[in-house]
Amino acid sequence: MAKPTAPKRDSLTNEFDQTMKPVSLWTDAWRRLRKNKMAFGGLIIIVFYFVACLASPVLPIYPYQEQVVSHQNLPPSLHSAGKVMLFTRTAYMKQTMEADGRSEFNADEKAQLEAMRIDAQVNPENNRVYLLGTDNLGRDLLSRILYGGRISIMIGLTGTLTAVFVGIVLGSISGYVGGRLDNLMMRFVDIMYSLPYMLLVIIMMALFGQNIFNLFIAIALVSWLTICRVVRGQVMSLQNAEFVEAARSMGASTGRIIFRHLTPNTLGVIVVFSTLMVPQFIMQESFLSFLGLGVSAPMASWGSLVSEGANVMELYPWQLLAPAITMTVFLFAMNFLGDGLRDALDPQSKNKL
Amino acid sequence: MAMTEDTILQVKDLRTYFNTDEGIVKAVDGVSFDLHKGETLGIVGESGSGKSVTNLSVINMIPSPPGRIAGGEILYHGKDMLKMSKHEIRQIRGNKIAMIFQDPMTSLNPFLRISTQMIETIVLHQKLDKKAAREKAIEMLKLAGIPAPEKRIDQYPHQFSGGMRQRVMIAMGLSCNPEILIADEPTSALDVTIQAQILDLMKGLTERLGTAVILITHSLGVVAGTCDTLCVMYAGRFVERGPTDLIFDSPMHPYTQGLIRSVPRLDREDDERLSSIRGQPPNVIDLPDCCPFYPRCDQAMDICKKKYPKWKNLDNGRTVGCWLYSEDK
Amino acid sequence: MIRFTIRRFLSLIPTIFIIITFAFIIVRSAPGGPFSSEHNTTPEILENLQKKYHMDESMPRQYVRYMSQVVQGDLGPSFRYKDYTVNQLVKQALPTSMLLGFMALAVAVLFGISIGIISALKQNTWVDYSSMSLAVIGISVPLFVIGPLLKLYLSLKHDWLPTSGWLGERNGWLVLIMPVATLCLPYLASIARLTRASVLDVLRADFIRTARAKGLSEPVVMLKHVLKGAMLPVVSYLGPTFALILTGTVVVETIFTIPGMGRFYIQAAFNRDYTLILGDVIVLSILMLFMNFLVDIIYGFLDPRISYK
Repeated sequence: MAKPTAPKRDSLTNEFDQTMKPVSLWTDAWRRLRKNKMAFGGLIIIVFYFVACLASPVLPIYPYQEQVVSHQNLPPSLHSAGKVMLFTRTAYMKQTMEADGRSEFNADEKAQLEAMRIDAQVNPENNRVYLLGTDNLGRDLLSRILYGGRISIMIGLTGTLTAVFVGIVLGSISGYVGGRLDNLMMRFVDIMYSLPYMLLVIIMMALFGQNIFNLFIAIALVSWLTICRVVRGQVMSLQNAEFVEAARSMGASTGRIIFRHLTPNTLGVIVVFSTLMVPQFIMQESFLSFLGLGVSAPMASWGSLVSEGANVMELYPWQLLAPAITMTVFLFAMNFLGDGLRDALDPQSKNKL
Repeated sequence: MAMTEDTILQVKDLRTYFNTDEGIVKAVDGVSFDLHKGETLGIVGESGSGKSVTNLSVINMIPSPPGRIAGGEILYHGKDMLKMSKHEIRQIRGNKIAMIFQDPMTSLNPFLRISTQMIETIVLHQKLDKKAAREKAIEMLKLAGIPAPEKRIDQYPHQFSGGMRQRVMIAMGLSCNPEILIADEPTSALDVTIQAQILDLMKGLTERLGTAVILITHSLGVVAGTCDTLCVMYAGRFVERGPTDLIFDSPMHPYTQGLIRSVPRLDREDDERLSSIRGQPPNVIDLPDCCPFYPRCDQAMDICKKKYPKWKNLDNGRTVGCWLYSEDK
Repeated sequence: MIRFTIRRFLSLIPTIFIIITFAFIIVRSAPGGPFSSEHNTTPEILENLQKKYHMDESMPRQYVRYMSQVVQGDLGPSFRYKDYTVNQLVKQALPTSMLLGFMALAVAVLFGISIGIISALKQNTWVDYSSMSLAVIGISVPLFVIGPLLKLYLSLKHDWLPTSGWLGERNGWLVLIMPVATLCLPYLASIARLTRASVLDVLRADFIRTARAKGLSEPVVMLKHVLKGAMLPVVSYLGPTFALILTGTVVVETIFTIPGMGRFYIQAAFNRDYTLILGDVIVLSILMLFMNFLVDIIYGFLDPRISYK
């Protein structure tokens, strides 16, 4: 019998003329992500937020800390500030008028309104348009929200990156080296895990003063724990996996093993985790800001804006609603994106929505 | 094939398809066979040939999205199981037709005791009370070779070794004295020495109880020792079928020949290379109309590329699907 | 099983020690002291105060003194509220916080698990999609947004519920609704998601296939085979959930002016009332650790692989 030879064929078509598309993990995951409408929508929203907030210093908006005292507590509107003040004043006067049982403004009130009207036309400041209204010091809420977003997002991102970095380094070392070092590390992680860390964070912020740096340290202190555990787990299970043995038997060095083999496998988990960590960081920071322990005036973050808004929500509800909705939409989008990424990278996962 | 007195199961032209992103996977594409009382039928094939799907289809346990049984009949004592109501099928599963699976590590519920898992089946199908069911279960465990069964029955699965767990599965499967036992690669996850023990156990018990067996495996060695009839499966269809001895003696289909040839033998010359079948199994999505084995076949002819071979029945109970044996080409 | 329980219980003790020590160090290394905001203090008075509260001693001695007091159950006098000891203050505030916390936990667990199971069973139907979308909203909206919003609409705009306060002469059980609802929402959502994922996971397992192949009916498969395993991740999540809820009480009590531990906590931190801070940390930590301990035990009950090693 003649020695059989394999027929030469094009790498993409097999003998049946079927095309075989080579698929890498990432392209496959991207395709799945695109299909997931909600996650993709989330991605778009996030990109929009990032661009808007991070570019806020160069956007044509009013400076966030600039106060125009006469423009206090104006409601959101597309009209100029002057007109808005006029409307509110008129409405208020109407109320007093009706309370007094009159049907017309008296001379005094008319004079006030007239003065305001003139002022509105003359004073250039009154031509400002406050799309989201102003707060109690006359600061434009839109700028404050954008600026606050910048702070919040930056805290979220840098915090997550730090936590992930520390977690990966410590986790990989612990997992790869094993033995006593690993034991020690895991005991440490266990203890830190059981600390009521939010309580301790609160104490720290209250006692050591509020600045971004402290805030950062406090939150980052405990956040690396989970990723450390996860990475360690992955490293340990992959270490013993057969493809690592295979690579080693072909002469691959330890470094190569770590980078080309172990890391891509863990990367999926890390990406998903990070995406879900960012909103958590932001929530924690806003939690602290809400209690008055986060960023301090004149800086703003979404948390502090909501806190200020909550104080006056009876009279000026938009001061609460605007930052609250902005923040919620962002967190919402990030969570959906995180979920979508998890599905995309691990299609067999149970979270198929 | 004529239905004789003791035919208990007839599968006719079974087709099971799966809808996937890339297209329709025709996992089983026209499979037919008969099973007689007490017969042991082996289904041999490579990974992905459709063996397991065939069995799951018999008891109608194909996960419904994305899979579906697209055609054919499965006649159990003459009644089509595919047309049965859920209630009727449930009365057959575990009771008349039992199935044991490949991986004993994951096939038993780790959170329930063995006693619970065995008693529930017996109580459900045999209408015994708990006490009697427990005794029956203990007896089955003893038959299956589990030492101290009265004590061990109350343990949890993780307290048993792999081989022991498979014995438990077998005991559980046979506890209601089914007519048919379907064993899906029962030994593939076990050590070789344990494999032999388990196969012996299965053979002994089923002979004793008169159970017919459908044994799925990718190992010819397993089949040779245990099966009366052999079906060779490739790319979703049978390529050869018949009594095991006859097939081993003179395999007809080139694939079967290749399989038998590739088993390493002790009586080979030292420097003879191991024989293997060149090439890869095909992607079963959108297969064109041809013999799916032709790229790997040394005896391929022109017509093999163009049309699927006709099934040919021979006198000695053998059937083969290959153009080599068809008069009309 | 008993050994397992004892082992877990004993491991609590060193953890508490570490927590207290950690808190002590943090608190005492902070700038300022409990008396720095007092007016009208001459150096002599300051010195006397320091002596009275043993603050003139070295830090390690203060630490030892404090620890020995705590071990005997005495949390010391409040530095700020001169007429009260910490024990008294805690006794007042703790039941409130615990009631709030446990109610929120109960509601979150009950509804969360139910919704999760239903979503899993009706996977990919509109029931599933809508409840899971709501769940994502639930975990995205911070407590301090939900609280004020609820307050705004249910209390201020429509006057259906009392604005603030707690059970007492003036308020019936209606006053519980908003704080509990606020506190439980994010965790209800997480538990629902987790339960759903877990149930789907178990449904995919091989042993469920075996159960069905034995002819068991769907309800039996669900209740007997699926539920036990599916509850495991949820149970282990209960420990951290309770801790988060306790932390959340800080915010909720502030928003709805509830006289609980949370509110005291912040005040104490701002006032540098060392003993009160430490007392709060100790009590809350013990609560959390105990809950974790309970959860571990329950987990051990459910998962035979743990206890029957």
